[in-house]
Amino acid sequence: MIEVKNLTKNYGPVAAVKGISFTVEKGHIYGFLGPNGAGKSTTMNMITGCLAPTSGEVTISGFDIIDDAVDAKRCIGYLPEIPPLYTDMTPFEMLEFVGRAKKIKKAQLYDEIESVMEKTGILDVADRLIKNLSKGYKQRVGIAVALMGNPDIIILDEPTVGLDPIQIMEVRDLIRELGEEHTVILSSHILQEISAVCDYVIMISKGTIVASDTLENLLSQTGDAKKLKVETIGTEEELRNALADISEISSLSVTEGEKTALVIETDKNSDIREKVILALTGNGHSLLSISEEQASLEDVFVRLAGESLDAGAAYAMEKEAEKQEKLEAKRGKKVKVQSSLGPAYYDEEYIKEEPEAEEAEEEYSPLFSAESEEKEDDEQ
Amino acid sequence: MNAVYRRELKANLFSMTGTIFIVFALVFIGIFCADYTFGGASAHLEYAIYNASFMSLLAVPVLTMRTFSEERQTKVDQLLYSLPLTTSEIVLGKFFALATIMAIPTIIMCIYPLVMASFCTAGAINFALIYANILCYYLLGCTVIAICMFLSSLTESQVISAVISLAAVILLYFMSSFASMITSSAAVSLVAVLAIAVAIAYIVWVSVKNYIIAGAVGGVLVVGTVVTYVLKSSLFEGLLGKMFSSLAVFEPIANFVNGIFDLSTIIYYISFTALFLFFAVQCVEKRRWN
Repeated sequence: MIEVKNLTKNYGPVAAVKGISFTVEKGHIYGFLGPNGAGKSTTMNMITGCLAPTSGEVTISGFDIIDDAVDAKRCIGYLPEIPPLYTDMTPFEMLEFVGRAKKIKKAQLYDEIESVMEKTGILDVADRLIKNLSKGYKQRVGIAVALMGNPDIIILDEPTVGLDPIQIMEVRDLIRELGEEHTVILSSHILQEISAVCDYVIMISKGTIVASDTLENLLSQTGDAKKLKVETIGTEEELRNALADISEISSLSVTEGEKTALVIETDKNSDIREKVILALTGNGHSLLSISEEQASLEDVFVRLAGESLDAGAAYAMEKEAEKQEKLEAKRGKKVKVQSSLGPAYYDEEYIKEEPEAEEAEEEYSPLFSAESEEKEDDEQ
Repeated sequence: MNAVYRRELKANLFSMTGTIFIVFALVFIGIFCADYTFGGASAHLEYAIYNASFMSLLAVPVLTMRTFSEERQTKVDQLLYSLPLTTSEIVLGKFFALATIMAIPTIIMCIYPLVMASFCTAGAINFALIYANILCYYLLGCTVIAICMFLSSLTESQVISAVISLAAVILLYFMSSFASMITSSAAVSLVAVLAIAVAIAYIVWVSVKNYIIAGAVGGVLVVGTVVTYVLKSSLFEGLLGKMFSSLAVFEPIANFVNGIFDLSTIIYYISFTALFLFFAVQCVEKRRWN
């Protein structure tokens, strides 16, 4: 469907995208994952013909995006990072304009507008000016614009940024629905989002692809270790003695305090939770909590990106994933995150740095918008 | 093109910019016409139109300032780029929408001679002459719109777009005066033509980033110019002045006032419009390549 070959984009001396190649097959939801500034938007702009590549080529359903631009663009619906909407129009007029530009026949145009508005849930606001709509509705109108003309490929650049958690859920459901009929490419810097909706992941870092595989394959690449986090009471020595008999433990780290935190590493396939509980309680240590952690997409990302990804960006991604999870839990939404995706694991160094990082978080976290905080207050 | 045309026409008609332009044009045409006919007791509306042309078109920058700048600022241009439209369709759609807005005061102007006729003796008004002048005025308006649209495509800011467009309209109006001020000996003209040749070579270099091609283009132009100068220097006599006066878009309309239906003037306006629309297309297209 889409073939990208050696795509490169230089902004003056800065290379934003460095010769990436990939193929997109029909009927999947592709996730385009990378930290801010990795080149996601630049790549998407090149795929959709908004930006001409410095070198390399993009073919869409056999049409070259530069040479057969009109035919190629007919196969695509695109929602850029900022929904490109004429704010002095109503959603209805906007869709009418896009329908005409995509040369939809007059007889079908209004049926199509109706069905697209229904799909994206904007029928209620069809006659209000776009400038008066909330961010969430603007985003939906943007998606509706991408859906006009029923294109085979739908490309969404960070479709959930700036939405509140409920809206995020709705947009994700919508994307899943779209994935049944269309090929969807979705970009995001939120790992959790990618793992929740996509079945194929392309990871990009500093303008190069670091991984491109199905979600399952990527998750199975995370190495052999599994971590068990335990909170209990006792001194390091007592606890080490209590757990000495369990042969599966490959490494054990203990942090003493009011509550003692244990991180137990074991082989990927063994489940020693029962043994640990029995050993601890049997020796008179009360068990406060125990949780199992498996490799998550962020581990894969951090490992694959390796040196090319600076620690700051990786940390930012982890934090964001965790924050999102917390918020979703708080909302009481019954959306179970895949069991393989536990909360991010922090080692001590990161925890110490936390207060400093807190301020920076506001900038990249889409969840703490004024809108969502207001809502929170209302609920209380 | 139809989609862009409809969208732009509606956006301009129902916003302040279109209204300001139409009102501004009508006010000045009205003042000049009233002054000539009632004040000067003359039936020669064509003079009124000729004299009103500059003032009434001073508001064109208001009309064109948002054409490309606004979309670039709000990132709506990404939508236009990703739709199955060619850049020419986008530019032409916008131009025809503005040309339609320009037609509104022009059509209202067409009523003036009819009103005048009821106050005059039969035959006092030369309808053919006046309507030919109105047509010429309309074409002049379209030319100015095309120039200002091109200037709007250069910048992201509507304010800058409006200011440089206004400066350009004023400059074009005074261009014929500038042309007469210039010494036009053959040697000065030669220098000017050589400077243009170098400028063309530079533009080629900027667009293709290839020294060989740019050098070849520049070399051919410079050598050609010098050879022509050596063989027939009389060709360069007064050339610079002619070059400047050919840019004075407000001048050719004078031919019509004098009662000549000058086809070359009409072709001049149409080709000038086409040239600047072509520049606008190139400019919009170029943005995708940066």
